[in-house]
Amino acid sequence: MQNGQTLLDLNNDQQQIDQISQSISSGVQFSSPADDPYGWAESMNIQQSSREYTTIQSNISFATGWQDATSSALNQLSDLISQAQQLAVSAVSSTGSSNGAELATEVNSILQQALTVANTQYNNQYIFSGTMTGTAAISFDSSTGTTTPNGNSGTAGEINVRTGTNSGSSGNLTTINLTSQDAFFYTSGGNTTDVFHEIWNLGQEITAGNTTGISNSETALQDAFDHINNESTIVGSSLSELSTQKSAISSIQTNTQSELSNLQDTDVTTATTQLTQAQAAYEAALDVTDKLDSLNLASILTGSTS
Amino acid sequence: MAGGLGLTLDTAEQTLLNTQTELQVSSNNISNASNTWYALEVADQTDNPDVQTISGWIGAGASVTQITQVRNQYIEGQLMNANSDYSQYSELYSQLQAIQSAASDSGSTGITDALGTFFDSWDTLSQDPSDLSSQSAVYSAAQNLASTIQSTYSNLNEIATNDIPNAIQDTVTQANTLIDQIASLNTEIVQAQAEAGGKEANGLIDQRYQALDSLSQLIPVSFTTGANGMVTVTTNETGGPATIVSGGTGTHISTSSAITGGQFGGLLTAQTDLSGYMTDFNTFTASLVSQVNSLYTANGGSDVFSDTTGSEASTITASDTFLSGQSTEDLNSAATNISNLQNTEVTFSDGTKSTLQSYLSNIQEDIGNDTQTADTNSSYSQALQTQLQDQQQSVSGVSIDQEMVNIIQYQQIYEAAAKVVTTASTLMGTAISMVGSGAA
Repeated sequence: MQNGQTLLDLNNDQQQIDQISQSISSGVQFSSPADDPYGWAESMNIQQSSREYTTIQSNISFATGWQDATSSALNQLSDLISQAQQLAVSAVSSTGSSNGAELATEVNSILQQALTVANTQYNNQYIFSGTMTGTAAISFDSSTGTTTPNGNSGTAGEINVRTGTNSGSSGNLTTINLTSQDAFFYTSGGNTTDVFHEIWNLGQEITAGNTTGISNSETALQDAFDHINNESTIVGSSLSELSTQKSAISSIQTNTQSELSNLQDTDVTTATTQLTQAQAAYEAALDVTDKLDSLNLASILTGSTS
Repeated sequence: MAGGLGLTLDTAEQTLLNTQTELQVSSNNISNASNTWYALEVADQTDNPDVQTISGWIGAGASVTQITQVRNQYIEGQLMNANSDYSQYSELYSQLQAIQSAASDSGSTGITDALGTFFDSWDTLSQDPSDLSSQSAVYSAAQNLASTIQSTYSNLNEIATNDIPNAIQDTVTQANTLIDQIASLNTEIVQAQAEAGGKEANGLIDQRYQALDSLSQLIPVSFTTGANGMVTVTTNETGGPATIVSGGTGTHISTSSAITGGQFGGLLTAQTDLSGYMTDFNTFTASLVSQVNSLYTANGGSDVFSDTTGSEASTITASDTFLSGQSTEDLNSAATNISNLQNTEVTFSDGTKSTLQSYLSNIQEDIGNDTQTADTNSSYSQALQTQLQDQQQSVSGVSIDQEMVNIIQYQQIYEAAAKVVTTASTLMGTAISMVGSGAA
């Protein structure tokens, strides 16, 4: 009698049908580690990589936004310095004191705008204050023309975010910020000075009607202009790197996603074919079992064969 | 009477009685056809001693001397081994499935997800360390990670301290009941045989076989039948075979018996495997805590996590004050360092060198492999068991077809013998009336 074996085979067929159906309806090939232990573990690792890349992209996005704001602020400063330079030229050509007062007022207006730019915020954080982003970047004393940076500088003033993974040998941090010490302060004629002081100073010289002074101011302002442009270039190239990095990671993300898909997604076409075959085999086995069952002497003798 | 019609009548009468007995045996077989522990019974006939007559020795029919069972002890022994193997692996598989569920971590749920959220919260914090909502997210992620680890460990611990030990206790209780049953059946069988003049007590033997078969699922079983009809039963322990039934005495097993096989053995293996996984979770947690704390406190500041050595996964907690008092630059530096930990290879206390995530994934892979192996072994041993069951049934099982044919034969024999009786009796009547009618 083969009944035990037959029953076992039927059960195994049924189990296989259940498994294939499950993989089709859920869309994933494995529903537990036992289904594919290596695949399951790989899938966990890939999912976590994928999550990390998404977060890194958000860091890159944040860094880009911050540096765009920095770039824009520097451009505004650059324009303001140009305007001040033109005023300086005007001041030299019209030596009358009547014009002087007007020009001085305009210079002051430029100064005020520049001071506002210095205290630009991004994401509610002062972008030129180093890590002390809750404090305005500079304080300006209009009686002495002294600019005091309120934030910190150097390593302590760096805001770093991860813009790559650290699985390679090189670092993966990007310093997103430019401190006011670096942005606004520079050397001119052997002295340390800053953009705001020079603009203020121009106003002073115009009011005093000091032509030589105004002339010196022009030079200092040109140095300021050059310095700001240098800083702008540095930020620009950082932005460019970020953009490249963003594309690179985007590419990796696409690959990662398809790796995951290949690993765990059910190939519905193949699975459906397998399911059809398994069902056909199962039905055939049931059919045969049914026929065999009715082949016994008792039912033949009692005339109850079908 | 030596020879003659009397002998014929006696012989025919004996045949009628024999056939009735044989029909009863068949009837008993048929009614037990679906009982897998029943062994096919056969009526043994022995020729009666020949009788000496004038014409020489004449056969005097046959008698049913005993009803014997058709059993093959070798196949039964093999089948019991297969029972034990199948029970062992299917129990192990079943426990591992529960363990797999308890430790469930798909990468998008479970500890992995909590760990990922934890690292992400530091990345967000690095962007604006003094932002209160970012800080709150870090606290909450740390809290969530600690509690997810604790909860996974606790699920596993429930299985280790309750489910498996209870199952072992149940197995032991059932096994001991069966051991006692077998021992007392041994005594009953010998007694019944003595009362029946040495004839086999088939029904009792079937019951003993059933008890042995059931026992073989719980623990491995080997048996030998002694000349007196009693079975001696042994089971396998790590130190060698141990006698559990000898004559009418049963020796109980206990939950600390070192039995290798059967449901008991499967449960022991599950317990060992589970203990390994729980240790792995402790090892993981120990590294997580020490790595994160060391990176964070490098910039001054207090521990992020705390745990107890030896039971890290069940005792890990997150502080809710570690961020306070830290400067923005210290927080920014700690944030990027901690977040970078996710790709850093760390050396664990068991010597493994990998990232924290890989360690978690490997635990899942190990559980998956062990479960898959148990499943494969279980299927294989089930197939073997089924084969042997079919074999055993083909020897000892009842074939309805065979019994039907037998019944037809017995019916014909009975009718023929009855015919002999009527004929012999008519002839004897004729002989008597021959004598009677001659008297005047």
